[in-house]
Amino acid sequence: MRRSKQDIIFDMLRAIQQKGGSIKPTHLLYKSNLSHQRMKEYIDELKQRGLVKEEQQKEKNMFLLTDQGYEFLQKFQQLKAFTEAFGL
Amino acid sequence: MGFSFFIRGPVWFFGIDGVFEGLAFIVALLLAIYAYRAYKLTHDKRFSLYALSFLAITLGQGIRAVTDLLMHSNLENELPYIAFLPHLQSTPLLFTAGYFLHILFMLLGLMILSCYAMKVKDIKVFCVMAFSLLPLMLLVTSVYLAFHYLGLLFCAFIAYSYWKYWCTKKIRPTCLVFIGFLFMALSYVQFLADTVFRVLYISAHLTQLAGYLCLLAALFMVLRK
Repeated sequence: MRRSKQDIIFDMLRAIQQKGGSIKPTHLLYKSNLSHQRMKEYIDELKQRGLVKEEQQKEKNMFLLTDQGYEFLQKFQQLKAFTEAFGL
Repeated sequence: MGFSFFIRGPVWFFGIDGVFEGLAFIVALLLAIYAYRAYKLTHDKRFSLYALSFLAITLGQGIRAVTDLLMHSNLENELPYIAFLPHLQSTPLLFTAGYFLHILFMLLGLMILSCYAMKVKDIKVFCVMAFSLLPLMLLVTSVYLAFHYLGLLFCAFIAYSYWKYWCTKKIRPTCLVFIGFLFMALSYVQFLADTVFRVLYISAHLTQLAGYLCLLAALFMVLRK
């Protein structure tokens, strides 16, 4: 079944959370099951919304989950239930 | 004639109708707030439109509650009688404005929900609906019948859309939303019929409140997750 945009965002953020809050771009690419171009588009949106930030750790680029990103993950289940219940 | 085009039902019910509308105001407000919070979290336009529709319904119910409660106080004896439409000549401006604002906001809210249910993406469709139906409320001779007829149409359509959706999803909150809008549609039928049987004004308010309480129950089931 095709994932909605919110489902993809949730999957990406959960993948980062499961890796302890930071993840390499390559790992995120595998976990999110997206093409490189699409993942880049989503990452840009997540960075713009403040859910994810990019940092250098030990000379490697890493994506980190922000506080807002953790909050989104917590509220997502409720949001998904609301979306399903009210047909949004 | 006085306020007869909006005053229905037995005298003992006056004021109680305002309380019922106040409860509907609270339910619609809670839904508007949650939808807006969902929009802030996701930046998804669907939630902002849903919030806007329930905000309009909130305003409509709130204005009606205040108007009804004011009308049943002695205030109407002290307000200026200014007529701007021939068939409303003995109605104070405040109450006329209150009821018309109630109609405007309720129809706006139901129109947005209907467009959403029809999956209308083109704003021109909504504009055609709004610009054709809303001015008609000022021109018809029976505003009461016209408004409740349109309310019935919109609620029935929204209920039907949720029924179809529930047939695919089969989740309890969706069933409650369907029943909620169905009750609202049934309440409008009773409002239309109360021109003949005045007691239906009471059952119409009860049915409408039941509809809003079903929506509230659906929201609580979601928030428990």
